[in-house]
Amino acid sequence: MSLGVVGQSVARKTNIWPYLLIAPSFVALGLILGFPVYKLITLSFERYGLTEIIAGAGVFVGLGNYREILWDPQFWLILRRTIFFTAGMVSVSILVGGLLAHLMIKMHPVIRRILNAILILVWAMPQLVSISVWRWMFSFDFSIVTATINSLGFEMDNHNYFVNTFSGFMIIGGCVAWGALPFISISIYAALTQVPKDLIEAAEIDGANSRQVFRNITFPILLPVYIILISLSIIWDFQVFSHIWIFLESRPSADYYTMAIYAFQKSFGLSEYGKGAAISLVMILALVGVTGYYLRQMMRMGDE
Amino acid sequence: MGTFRAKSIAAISVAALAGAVAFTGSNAAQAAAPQSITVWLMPDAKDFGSALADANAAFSAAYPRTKVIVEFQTWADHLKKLDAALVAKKGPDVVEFGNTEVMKYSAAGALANLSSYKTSFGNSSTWLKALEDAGSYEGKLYAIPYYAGARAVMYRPSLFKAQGISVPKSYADFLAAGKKLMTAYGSANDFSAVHLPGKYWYAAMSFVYDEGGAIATKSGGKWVGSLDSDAAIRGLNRFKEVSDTLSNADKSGTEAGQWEVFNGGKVAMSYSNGWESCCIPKIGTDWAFFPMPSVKAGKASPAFLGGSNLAVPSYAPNAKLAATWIRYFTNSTQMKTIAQSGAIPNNTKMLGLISGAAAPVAAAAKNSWFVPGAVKWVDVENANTLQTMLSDIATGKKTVAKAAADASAEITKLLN
Repeated sequence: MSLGVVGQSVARKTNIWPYLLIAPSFVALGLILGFPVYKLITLSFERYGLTEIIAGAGVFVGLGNYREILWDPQFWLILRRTIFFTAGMVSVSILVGGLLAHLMIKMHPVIRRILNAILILVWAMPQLVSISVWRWMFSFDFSIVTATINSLGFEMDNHNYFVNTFSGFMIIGGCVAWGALPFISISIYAALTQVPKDLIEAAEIDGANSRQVFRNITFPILLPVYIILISLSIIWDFQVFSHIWIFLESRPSADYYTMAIYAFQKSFGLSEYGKGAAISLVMILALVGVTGYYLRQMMRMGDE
Repeated sequence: MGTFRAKSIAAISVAALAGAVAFTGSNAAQAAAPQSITVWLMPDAKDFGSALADANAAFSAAYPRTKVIVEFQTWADHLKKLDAALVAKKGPDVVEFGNTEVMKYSAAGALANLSSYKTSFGNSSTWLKALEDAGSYEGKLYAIPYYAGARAVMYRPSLFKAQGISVPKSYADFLAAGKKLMTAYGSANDFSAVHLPGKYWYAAMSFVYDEGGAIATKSGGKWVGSLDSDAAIRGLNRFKEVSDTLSNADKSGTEAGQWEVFNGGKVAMSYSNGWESCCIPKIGTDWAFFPMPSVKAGKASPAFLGGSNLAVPSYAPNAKLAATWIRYFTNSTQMKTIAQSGAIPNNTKMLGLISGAAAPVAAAAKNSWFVPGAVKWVDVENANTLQTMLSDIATGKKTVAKAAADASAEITKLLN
């Protein structure tokens, strides 16, 4: 019953039409993505800095870039940090988004509409604007957060929230998760409205309690949506760049490097494009490794 | 499900590619036709009155068959675009560089050698040393001094007057003035006699150079970090003294947007660029400048000289013509207009043209320091080595000696 499974048995027969129909998009994808990916891969085996740009060609160094990255303790630290940071943001946004959606389905329609409008507003706000607003909220000199804490009767001097990297990442991660909430909660809410009422009624007539209804009907129907959302969130959050970049005034210290920042600094900060390409590829592999589990789950469901 | 997978892989790749291959995309401008030259300038040029328009008019009168196309770039991504142009071997014929950016490109051979035209540029014998040094590499001239900016102390004359303080003539005076202001206004924890954020390396290095120290020195073909020298440590101690006793600014913050704090009214002095006075509406006219005083009474502490140079990329089909355009844009007539708009012209002879409140900033430019002329200097900036050291000192995380020794070792490593 789950999404997009119905056509599966038809596709099993050898029929050329589906391939013909999909061919144009594959050609387009190949042109738009295939060539850059090919360039990225060849670049990652080259030394390619300013000198090579002037010379007009990179110098082949084999696995040199990869060796240098993988032997660098900083790289592993950054990879671990990125994974933890991603895990935190994904779990918070999915958890809160899910709760909101489940709440919305039970809400009075008027309140739901208000909530929906707010979510859409959050969604519509350009990323640069929302990050800047968040940054101002936690600035040193004019922080509304510090001012609020003070007005509640606590004594608090101007405070730099980013000295402690934990609180810094909490704020940045909070901003990312906040921005992701609308998409997640509206998607889950949409999926919830698709749960057939008659199925639930039938189950209730058969004597199922609400927990059983959730476990046997609602949950299986929602699962694919959750998996898609989790995979997408991992992909988005793993490569969060602008949030860190803008929060830290385009000069993040090494404590705040994530994979995306690291690759950018190597490529554009230091003009070591070969090394930057290698980092990007390692990043893709790490991402495929992390999302692989979910993708497999989803394909397995497709095969059922 | 296949499409989804393709899509997500696509999404992954796109994201990663954006970080690494974007430069192969041809952002570069159109190839210069023989009879046109393309000029990449920063938007700052728009603040220089009629300088650009006048230069173009004069150039067009002399070379009527050559069309000048001016394209404004942004500081954030002009070098990325330039890298792309260098890959494509076509793009702008004249490029503006920040003076700390240009060395890397000169050393890599990305720029045309303009040494033979040097004497044809206006005022080339009195160019500001920091700009000329920035545009030179191994004795050859690659980038022409354009204009500069310097920092001096911006202060509130009304507060000075109320406390009977006159403009400090020495570092000791400066300290005494600050202490007096702190006693008078500093009861709340948000007042700063001197707003000195913990990562403000241009301010701290001014103290270091005033004491005779340096960030790094070259000996025997090798760069050595020298912030752990006695002179540099004396400078860093001064930074710590001001930060500890006169400042309530963010000990781990940068100077970005510091005029907003000045505008908030709880700052008596800040080490500012001349143009920062533009953006303090709440303060109105209650501001003036004096050069940061030296330990040696009556002298000014060396100021960091920021600024821009103009260069011709090595691929330019007609380097001579491009250099000629630069000649028109940097001649005495245009420099006069630039000086009148408050920026610092490219030569010492015309510094006197800056009058009024900004004059002390121009005076500060006479005695300046500049970052070490090492090809890999930009790595030190990217690694935030100095900022980290200073905030470690300001917050007390490390002693001055320890922080300086650590930073020196890192600088030595990065520069070689």
